[in-house]
Amino acid sequence: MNYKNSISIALLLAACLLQGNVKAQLMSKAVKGTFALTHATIHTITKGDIQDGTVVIQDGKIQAVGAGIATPAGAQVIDCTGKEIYPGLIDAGTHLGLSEVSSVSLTEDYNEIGDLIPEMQALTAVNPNSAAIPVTRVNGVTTVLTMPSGGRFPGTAALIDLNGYTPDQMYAGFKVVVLNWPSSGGFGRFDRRSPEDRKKAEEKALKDLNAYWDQAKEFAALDAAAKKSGQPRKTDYNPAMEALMPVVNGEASLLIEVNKDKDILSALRWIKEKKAKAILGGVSEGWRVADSIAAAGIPVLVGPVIDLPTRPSDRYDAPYANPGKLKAAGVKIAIRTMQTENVRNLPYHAGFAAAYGLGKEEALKAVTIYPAEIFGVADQLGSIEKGKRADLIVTDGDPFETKTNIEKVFIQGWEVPMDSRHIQLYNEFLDRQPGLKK
Amino acid sequence: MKKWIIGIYCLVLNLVVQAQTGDLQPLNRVYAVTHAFIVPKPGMLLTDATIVVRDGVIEAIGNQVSIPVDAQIIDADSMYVYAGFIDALSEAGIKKQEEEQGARGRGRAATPPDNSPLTNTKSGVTPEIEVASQLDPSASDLGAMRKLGFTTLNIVPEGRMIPGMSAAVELHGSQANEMILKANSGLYTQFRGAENRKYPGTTIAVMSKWRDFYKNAEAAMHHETMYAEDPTGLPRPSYDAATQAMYPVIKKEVPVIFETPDILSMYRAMDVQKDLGFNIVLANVKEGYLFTDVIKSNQVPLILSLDLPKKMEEEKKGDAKKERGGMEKGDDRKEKPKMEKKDQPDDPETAQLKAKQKAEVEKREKQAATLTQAGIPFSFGSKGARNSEIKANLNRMIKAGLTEEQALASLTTEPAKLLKLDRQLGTLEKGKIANLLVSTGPYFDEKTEVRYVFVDGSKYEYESKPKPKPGSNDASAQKSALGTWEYTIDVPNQSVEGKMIFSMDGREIKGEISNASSGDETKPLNNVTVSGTVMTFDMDYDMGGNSMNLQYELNLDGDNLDGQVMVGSFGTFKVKGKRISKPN
Amino acid sequence: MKQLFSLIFILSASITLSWSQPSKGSLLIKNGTVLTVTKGTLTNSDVLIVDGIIKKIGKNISAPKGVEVIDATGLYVMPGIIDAHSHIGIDVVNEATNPVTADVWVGDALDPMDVSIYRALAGGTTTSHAMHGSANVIGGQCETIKHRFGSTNPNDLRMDGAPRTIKFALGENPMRVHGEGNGIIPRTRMGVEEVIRRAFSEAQAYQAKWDAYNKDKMKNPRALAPEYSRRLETLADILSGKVMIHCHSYRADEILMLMNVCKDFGVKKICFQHVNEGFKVAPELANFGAYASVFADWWAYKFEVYYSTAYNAAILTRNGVVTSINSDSPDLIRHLYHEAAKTQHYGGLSDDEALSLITINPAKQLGVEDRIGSLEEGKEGDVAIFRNHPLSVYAVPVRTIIDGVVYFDIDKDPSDIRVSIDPDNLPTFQQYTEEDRCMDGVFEYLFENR
Repeated sequence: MNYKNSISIALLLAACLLQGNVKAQLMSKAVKGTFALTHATIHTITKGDIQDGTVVIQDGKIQAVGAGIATPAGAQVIDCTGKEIYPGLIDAGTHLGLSEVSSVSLTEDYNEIGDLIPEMQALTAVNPNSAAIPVTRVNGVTTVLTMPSGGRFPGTAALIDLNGYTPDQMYAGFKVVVLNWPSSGGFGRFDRRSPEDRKKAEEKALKDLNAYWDQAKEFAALDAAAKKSGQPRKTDYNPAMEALMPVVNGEASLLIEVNKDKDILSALRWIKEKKAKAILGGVSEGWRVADSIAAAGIPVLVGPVIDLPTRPSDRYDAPYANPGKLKAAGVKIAIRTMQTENVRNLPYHAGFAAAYGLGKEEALKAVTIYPAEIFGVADQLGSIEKGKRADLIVTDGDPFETKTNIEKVFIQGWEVPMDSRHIQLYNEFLDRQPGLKK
Repeated sequence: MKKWIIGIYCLVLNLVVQAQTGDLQPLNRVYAVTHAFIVPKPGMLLTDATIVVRDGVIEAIGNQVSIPVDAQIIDADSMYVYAGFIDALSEAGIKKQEEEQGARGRGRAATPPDNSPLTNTKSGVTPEIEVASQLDPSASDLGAMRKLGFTTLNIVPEGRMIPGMSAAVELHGSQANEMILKANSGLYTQFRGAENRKYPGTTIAVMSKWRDFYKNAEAAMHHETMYAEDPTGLPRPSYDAATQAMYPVIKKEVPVIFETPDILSMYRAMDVQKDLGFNIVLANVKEGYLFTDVIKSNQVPLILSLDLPKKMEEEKKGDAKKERGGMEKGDDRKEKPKMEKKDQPDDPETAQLKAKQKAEVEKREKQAATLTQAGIPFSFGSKGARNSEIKANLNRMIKAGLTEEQALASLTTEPAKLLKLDRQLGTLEKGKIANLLVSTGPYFDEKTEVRYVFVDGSKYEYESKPKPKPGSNDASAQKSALGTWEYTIDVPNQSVEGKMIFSMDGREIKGEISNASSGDETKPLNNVTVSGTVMTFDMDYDMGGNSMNLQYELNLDGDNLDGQVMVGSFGTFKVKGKRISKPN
Repeated sequence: MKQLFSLIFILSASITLSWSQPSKGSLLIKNGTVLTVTKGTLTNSDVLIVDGIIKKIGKNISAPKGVEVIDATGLYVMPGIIDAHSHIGIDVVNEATNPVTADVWVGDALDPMDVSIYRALAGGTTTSHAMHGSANVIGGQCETIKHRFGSTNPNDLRMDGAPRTIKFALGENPMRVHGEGNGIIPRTRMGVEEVIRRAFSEAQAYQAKWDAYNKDKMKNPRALAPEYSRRLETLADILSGKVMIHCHSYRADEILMLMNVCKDFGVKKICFQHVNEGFKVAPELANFGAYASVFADWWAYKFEVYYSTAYNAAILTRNGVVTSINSDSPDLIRHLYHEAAKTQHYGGLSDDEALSLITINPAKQLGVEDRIGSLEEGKEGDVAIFRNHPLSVYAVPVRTIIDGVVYFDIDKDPSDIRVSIDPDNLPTFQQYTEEDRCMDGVFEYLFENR
């Protein structure tokens, strides 16, 4: 938002204030309708760029896209001459909506007690009114995977669109059980365990994991038998097993959080043996074993990209270059920030990845179509094609560049207000009244 | 750890008591050691020579010495005699100090925090503490050092930032005060914060406190001096023991022994020294080769550490293996999902990292040689080193370029000079204190053992170590040892009980041992070898930083074992045991 | 006696000075786009550094004999980036044993072998303000260091002559450590103010005692010095302007509180750090002449930053406050050029305004603006060369130069940069978590009895 624009908005708001009781802190509303965005450069992602093109949004979907398309009657026409249109950016891993102030533990909702709790639903704990959500979407990030973390199976992550007042309104059609792979590395500065202790802990954790998996297979077998015979399945209430059943049956995906190179290799072997439908997340040392990941054909949600290297002997740009190296080896990647309140920086993570080897085109795909494909929602998201959901952003340039203004954001066909707490504070305090002298 | 101390300490203490209530008293204190190779000082060798000591002092030394009629004669044919070694920085013999129980563990303080005014003692500033008050003459590590050939230790007290005054201690005597050769040989200080979350907690606070404390001590000394000359009109001084203990340091009569085990602490110690001006000795030095310019231009006395990092072996199993997680097909060993690949070459990254690590180890081994080449003299100190490794470490340094002569000097003449005791110690000369080391060959030879040590002219004799039987280690023999055993060691007036567990680790047998008072806590056994029906192994036991090596030799007979354990110089004791469970 | 101590201090400082002889080099950087920051942008221009000082900036400069030439065609040349809030290169961050620890100095515990220093260089950052942490209301003294990586001598990092600074901290951190953790004042923001006023008042009394003694000493040879306290002496130095306050702060009311306390005690210069709510009191900050060093976009990690905005830097700048962007993080220090670029997104700052936030402004806040912070003849040769404009997300630093010596060269970047090697262990994997850097060391200290 540049200086001049925000002054205009400030004046406009001031004008509204004179009218009555409208509190300046309230957000303006999202608007649904039929829109025609005309004369734009459209980056479809999957079908190349369209110059001087038009996108028509109707009933929440992209009704039409192309050059020289007729504008439907009654549509609100938005002249986008000189502007670019991109799909809304997708962050493949966050805690957005699940934590409000990280130092206040009771505002943190993504880390529940227990080692085997895959049934915990991140979706229902999402706070649709989190101050961070508007802050995120005004930067062009429209859809995020928001995740639980904690024990071995900390819960089920959910893909959400950043528009709506209930989690169901926000739900974007994909959920995934999360598995935190037993780590052989240290937990940072405060981990004072000896290497022997760490090794023992890792072996025990792997043993437990296999025990969980085996019981889930048992459960699935009982369920299959019951279904076959038409009888009700007689098992005690066991939500964890219920949640794992589709995963062990290979029907639902399993998101495995793993970072150390050795651990990635052991996870890949385990995935193969268990025949799990897996996605890897984190993968900060993936560059060391990129060939193995590619050979296994497992997709990766990589990030954060703007991060420190994992070992003191690593080159300084190891995390920046990680996505590029994975891609070069043939791995399918999506980029993520693993942020809570600064998910808005996703385009910059993608920009750094681009600058350090991934290239702009692949980086753009890694925050649009690739995550959509990995999450199995590519029929709805990830590119600007007719029939897909209208998650779009209108910019005056490359969305990865900080200088670029995100001018309009459409989510699920709604034009969301370009407003957030940060913008409101800017408007209030840029020229504070009263100023120095009351 | 405490339970182990109780267990083995009881064993050892009993043995010490044994030695003391032993019935033999020396006949007199006159000895003649004859027909020996004598090294009166580094670089000098007398062959077929004799040395006579009387009542704690060297009476005569040379080839033409006439042996007094009252001398007890020790025929030291083909043995070597050196001046007893001097350890310039030791923590042997120090009783573990009780620390105030502070808050432990995460979360709120278990006890309400103590917000009473901060005293010097609470801050860890206790220069008034003397070694004599903390010294335990019966401590086993004193004996262990003596067995290595050391006769004098410069012992430092235990504490925090300024633990107190060091003292040169002779390794002979039953009362602490008897043993002190020179009290206040130095003011020992280290970068260690106060306990109990008190100021100073970190290095920068320690450095700040040093300056504060010293400057106020200077002012107090000035005040006391003026007051003593003429008290009229002046407020009276507060005679604070800690402050007064600093006066000899301020007057440069006593040096500050600053423990600086790495390069950055050396810089920081010198920063404090430059600000305040006291005489400084840098101690427990491990990275001196990075500091040669400053050491040389300031002529700083050094005490090098006798500790070295582990030597990096070319291991067949070990770092090179790629560990694999997950289950192997058909592998029903659910307990061990990992399989180790042996003899795998390192990937280029690991190879490079290891090379760098190896180069670092070599730099440390070469420290002594590097300093000598730069013309910098030094002494050696054992603080932080394991007794069982001292000789091996010296040999590593010699292999890396330190000459035996220089090594010897750093164990004798240099520390004598450092402690200002060179008129009494460091060489074998008439009139000096009768501290001798008699070994079966040149000291640094691997096979050489120390046979006699004289401290203040009193004789200590050591039997030769029984060599562990070389094991054939065949599988069937090993199998007979596997499982969990209960054992009992017979010590007079007591018995030590516990468990031993032997299992296979790949193709090697490994063992652990626990004793009844340590509960489930086990210690590893080294060099477990089974040959026929005889099993041998040894175990290291650390007490207060100095270590002993206990050697076991056991006969296996079905589910029973019996044999003996040798505990240092105290002798051997019977061991009996019974197997209580076989391995799965 | 105090004069004697000062004399000793001066003498020792000069001896310390003689230890550090950082190398100075000569370079000719040719044909780049030179972003001077203070004197506009020059295209196809050269920068000549001789013996560590920028000798000439202009077109078609020829290289003196033996001087290395760096071809900057198509590249961007800017002043070395300065981070006004950092904790890299020091072994100790927090002496959390007392709410007031003015006597300690992080410069006593520099660690020149910290790989974070090299990584900062790889991000174009040449100078940082190594600070005490925020555990105490009045923390320890800080040190401005240049990132001369590669030596084992801590003095090689020192920027000799840089003004003395000290860390203050307001708000949740000291309250959590001392009030909640130890049951002593401060537990509330009221207590924080009281701690500062009390410390300053005690310092005034201390100074008065010593002034009286110094006077008395002239005629009475038996005059006895009062007790010497480095802590009170340092606090007195703050009041007399010899040491500048850099205060970690967030809430608008506590920022105002400290400015009022400064007014009461005659302290004229202060730089607020983080100051997330600075934008709410921008007119007051500008009126006082206070500086502000802020995050680009960190917020919501504590309650005191829940109501802050990424437009903070822009609002402060527009209201006339000298503002910088800092990192307080070993990660962010590597891409301060990107952090500064965010102010173009949040507030529309111009290129030079944005670049000032990481060059000349932090230089002013550290009192070294006559030496570094812009590319001008006569200033020290601290330069960062970029492929792509530094304010572009695609910027890649390719050369980082301090005093005319190249310390980072992307074409010669070795794969294991460590100077300090652990002889017992290979380097291990450690998952980095972005914690509040300012509380470094506090949890270990509070919860482990060492």
